[in-house]
Amino acid sequence: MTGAAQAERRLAFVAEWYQAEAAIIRTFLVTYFVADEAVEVFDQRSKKTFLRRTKIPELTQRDFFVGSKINVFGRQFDIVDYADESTRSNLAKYRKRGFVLLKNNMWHKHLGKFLKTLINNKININNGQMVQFTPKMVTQFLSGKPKNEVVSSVLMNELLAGPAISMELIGDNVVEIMIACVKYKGPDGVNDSSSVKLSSSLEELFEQEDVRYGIYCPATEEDVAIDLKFFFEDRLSIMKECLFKNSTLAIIKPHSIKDGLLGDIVDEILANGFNVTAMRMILMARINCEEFYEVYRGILPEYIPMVAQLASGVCMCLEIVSADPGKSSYGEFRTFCGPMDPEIAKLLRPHTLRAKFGKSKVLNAIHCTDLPDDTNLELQYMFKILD
Amino acid sequence: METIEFLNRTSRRNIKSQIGWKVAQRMREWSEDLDDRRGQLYVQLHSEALQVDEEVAALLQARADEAERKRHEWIHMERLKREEAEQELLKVKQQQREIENSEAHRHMQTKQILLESKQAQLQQIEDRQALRRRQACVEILWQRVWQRLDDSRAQQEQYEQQLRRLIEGQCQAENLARDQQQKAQLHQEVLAEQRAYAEALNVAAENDARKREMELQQNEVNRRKQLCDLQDQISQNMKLAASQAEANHREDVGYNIREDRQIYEELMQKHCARGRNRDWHQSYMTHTAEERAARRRSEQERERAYLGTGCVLGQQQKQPYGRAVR
Repeated sequence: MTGAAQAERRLAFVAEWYQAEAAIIRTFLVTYFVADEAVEVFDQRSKKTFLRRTKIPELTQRDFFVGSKINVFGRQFDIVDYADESTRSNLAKYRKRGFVLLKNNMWHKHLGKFLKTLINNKININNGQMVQFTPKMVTQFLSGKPKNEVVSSVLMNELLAGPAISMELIGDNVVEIMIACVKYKGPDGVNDSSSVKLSSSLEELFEQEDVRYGIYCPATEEDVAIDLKFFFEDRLSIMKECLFKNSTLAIIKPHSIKDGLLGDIVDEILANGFNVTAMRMILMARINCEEFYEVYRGILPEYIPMVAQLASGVCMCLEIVSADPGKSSYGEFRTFCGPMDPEIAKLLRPHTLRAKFGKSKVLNAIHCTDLPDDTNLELQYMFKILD
Repeated sequence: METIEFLNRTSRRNIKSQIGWKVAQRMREWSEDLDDRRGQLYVQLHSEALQVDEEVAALLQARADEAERKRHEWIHMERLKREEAEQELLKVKQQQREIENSEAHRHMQTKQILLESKQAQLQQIEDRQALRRRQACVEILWQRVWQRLDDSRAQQEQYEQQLRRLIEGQCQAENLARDQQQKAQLHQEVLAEQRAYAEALNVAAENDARKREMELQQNEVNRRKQLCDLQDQISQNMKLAASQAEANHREDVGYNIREDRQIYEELMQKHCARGRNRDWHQSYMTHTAEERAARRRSEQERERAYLGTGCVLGQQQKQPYGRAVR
């Protein structure tokens, strides 16, 4: 490939836009030009250019992958497929999907640090949910695994012991990296089996034995595909149920996840006397966001940008329970989140989440239930009503 | 049968309407609930906003108070410091004054001052004397220098005077002689010029007379010459006219002769042509007669040849028609 052709490198995707007025989905061809960070949209039905090559500084190359939602001048395009072979081969080569399962005893202590380290090493968390296995499910899950029986039974026991967290990872060469992490034997251990060089932060994390043994990850890309299908596509209703009792809802907003603050926020929450009892990552449609925020319509002037923000990408929903059963989780967590406006929060409550991670009234890092009566409603909406 | 159907239908309709009504009721309830919740949320957010506002205000107030307090403190401290410094200064001054006021100190001081001034005066006097001496020396020196300069200048002036006088004498004699010589020369030149002018005048008068005589002669000659020319011209003109007339006459005769010859030739030509025409006509007539005879003969021969065969030999040729032909 010559220098000029390299400079004109572009990524082409098939994207869908839901036109609310006509209630139809229209298909477009979205092309991203890497050299000048410009986007071109082509209407495939009418065979016309819908948006000519335009620079959109909010979008970066990292936003373009299959399954992401991009916002082009207020219009949300869902990328559903690659549009040409070169993009497919290019991206598929670099941005691989990986799978990891955090076992019950591990994530209680290390979830925040684990997420932080992965994000710092350019591995994105694309999807995730907390799962509760039943014996039947475990058998089904382990049925295709070529492991020896001891490992399987140990794993089965571990999985049955409590809720686990399954995650879909996206990053360069992610399967090999995760395998290397699991096999890491400390700075003086012999790393004969893997050719992947781990970064220092990863080494530091996986030096701890309970982290190393606390995760499960498949060894090959085929296994990854099987596991991802099992957890995220088959709808086997293995997601952990909410408690709905003295619990509250927290949503880590898409902008924080895009900025790579997910790990820090989760770490903060777990370190400040809260437990996570259910978790899922979800890509919410705009209509669902509107429905979810319905109670804020007419109350807050930022209703529309709030909806747009929540719909702009993957968000993480958490059911939060205070570690001290005597206290009200709702009140405690709301105080911990701080005032809605991060500026005020920085002034009055500098130790709250929004003061630390928020940027503006809309981009305030986290949503928490505002009305005490609404906690169960919102939890139900997030974990039960949305599929 | 019909009754059962009717009843069934009615009950079904009833159920449907009941469902619709229930849904509507639920929707109403839901919207009421939503409104209720909105109200609650509004109250809560509002009160929280107020509280936050209050807190911010209190915080800002506290900050402002703190800042003011700090400023006050600072000012106070500064004032204290300044006062202290003043006190210190006053104390020092007081001490100084006290020291100055004490008698012994004053006496000693006066003495010292007197001694110092005396010494200074002495020193001054000495200095002044030395200066004066030196000045005198310099003046004497200058006097000498000036004297020498004056002497040399006077001497030089004397020499110059002498020299100038000598040169003046010589120059005067020379100038006189030259002047006289120039005057004589001028006189001579004037005389010579006068003489030359007189001669030139004479010559001019003579020349005038001669010229006038020559002009008279010339006039005479001219007049005589003009007469001769006129006579010559008249005779020449007459000769020319005669020759011209003769030439004209000759030409006329020539023309007449030529015309006569031409007429003659034309007549002769016509005569010859007529003769020739007659010969040609005769020969033409005989020729046509011969031709006609030949044609008739050939026709007769053909008719004879085709006689009795039944062929139609003579067929009238198609004649063109039309006005132009007719």
